[in-house]
Amino acid sequence: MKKDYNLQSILNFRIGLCMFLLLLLSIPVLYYITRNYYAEDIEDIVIHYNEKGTLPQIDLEEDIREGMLLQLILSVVTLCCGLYIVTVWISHSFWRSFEKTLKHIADFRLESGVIPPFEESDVREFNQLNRQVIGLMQNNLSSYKAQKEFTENASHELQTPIAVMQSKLDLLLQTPGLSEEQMKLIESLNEETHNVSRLSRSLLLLSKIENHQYHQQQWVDTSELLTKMERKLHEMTDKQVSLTMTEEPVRLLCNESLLESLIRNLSVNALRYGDDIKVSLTPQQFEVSDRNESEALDSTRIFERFYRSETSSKGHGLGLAIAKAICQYYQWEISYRYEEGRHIFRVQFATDGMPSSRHTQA
Amino acid sequence: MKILIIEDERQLSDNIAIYMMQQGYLCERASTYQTALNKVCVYDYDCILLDLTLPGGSGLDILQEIRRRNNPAGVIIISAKDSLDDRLKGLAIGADDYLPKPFHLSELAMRVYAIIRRRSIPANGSNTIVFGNLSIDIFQQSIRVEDQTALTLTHTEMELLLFLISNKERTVTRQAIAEHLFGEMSDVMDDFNFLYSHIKNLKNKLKTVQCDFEIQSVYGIGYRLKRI
Repeated sequence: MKKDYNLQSILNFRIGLCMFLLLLLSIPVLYYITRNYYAEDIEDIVIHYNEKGTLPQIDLEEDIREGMLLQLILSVVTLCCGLYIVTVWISHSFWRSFEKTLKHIADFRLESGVIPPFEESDVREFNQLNRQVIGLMQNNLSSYKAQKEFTENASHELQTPIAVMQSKLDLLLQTPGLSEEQMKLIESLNEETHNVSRLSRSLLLLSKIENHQYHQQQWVDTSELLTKMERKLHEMTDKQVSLTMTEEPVRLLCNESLLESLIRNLSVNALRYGDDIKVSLTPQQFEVSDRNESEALDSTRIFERFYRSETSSKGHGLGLAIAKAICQYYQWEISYRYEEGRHIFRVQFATDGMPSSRHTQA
Repeated sequence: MKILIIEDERQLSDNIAIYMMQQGYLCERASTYQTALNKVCVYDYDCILLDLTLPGGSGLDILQEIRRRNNPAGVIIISAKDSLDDRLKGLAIGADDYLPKPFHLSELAMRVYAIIRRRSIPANGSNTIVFGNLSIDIFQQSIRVEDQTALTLTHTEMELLLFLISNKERTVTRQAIAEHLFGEMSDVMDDFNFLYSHIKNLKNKLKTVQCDFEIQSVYGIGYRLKRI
């Protein structure tokens, strides 16, 4: 990258350089002018008196040179000091509002939906800049909002036609005298309908999380939730599922259905791709791991929407994106790592989400 | 048993009505806020299926009206808006259940059955369902025929049996069963093998008590509870 300097030092440097060159060039001119106009008469007088021998020997030329040099140096120093002071002052007062604008732009987050308060400046150009930036932010925000609403509305509007489709299939299934082939066709239609409905439900959930529609929160007994879920997992699979928890129940301040969704998505992910599933819960973190000798997943991409590794078949590629969105919503930290043949997903709870420790201290 | 279907999507309400009528319920339909309100005020229903977004008004207002009149009908909200706020609001006003769209008709039939059953619990609190020659004790999770000793079911088997009973003589898909028993957890499974053991066990238990209904498998895509 090209090295850059701040505006003030560039100004200082360029003005200084220009002054220096101009002064350098002006020395002969000044000398000529002083000699021929300003000191001309004095010279005549000196020559005149010298001829009569009444004056001491004076070297006027040298005097002029020295005087000029002194004057020049003084004026250069004065100018430079003045310039320096002026530019420092400018950068401190005028550029301050520009730097504030810069900071506002840097801190601006589309997700927050808030336009930072720009202060009125004395400089018209900066005010213009601020106005343009505010306009730009407003445009961005409104198109971002429109896009989010679109996703939500689209998945919303899909639910009714899917419901109609589903109900027709359910009725079709009851028709007497269906052949096995027809039944199988209905079944595969059924399955696709189910997938579409699942997809739109997941998209709806994602956009709802992003639109901050889960204000409702309460202290959720996570240990109990996990125990219930483990029981269901056991009924569904022969794979080994083990659950370890701290003795004291872990309670989290969050939305119960979101927490359930997070836990379900992670455990179900493990169940789908691996064996020997281990789930653990402490007041600080929740961890799910499964044994699978395949390679480590691409940790930078697995939380992306619709990202699927080559081996994954059935998932719609939104489970981990949902898990991540939920974690972001509560400022929990979700991470993935691969260690000794195990895929490990960990959710680190924020410390202020930990009522149980605070509770015991109180 | 009379059901009122308040739903503005004609096709959906038709399908629901056909399915429920096949189950032996009487069905009426209302597709706007005003007709729904009129029907609710004039007639008595055992169960009301209520969509929340209606032309002319909100389903929640109808629900409020139903409860204000001390109408004892069971109300199931069926809504495309699966928002937690609506769910809580609906249940707070006095809905008995909330079923987000889309749903399987078999699931809806199950919910209706459960509500009607709950409303007919006798005052002495015994909770026994008689189905064919079978009496099912919901609290004890047990089944028996006449004077035989009772056979205990697991929680999942009990749920499964009630689901099949509420859809008796209908084909229910494995998908619908899996969703009913395990909710969204069932989405993960690549096949429905995990259902087989539960179904097999229940089948055997019904056979053991000599129930006059049996679980038939339908081409491997679903099941049907059929009178022998």
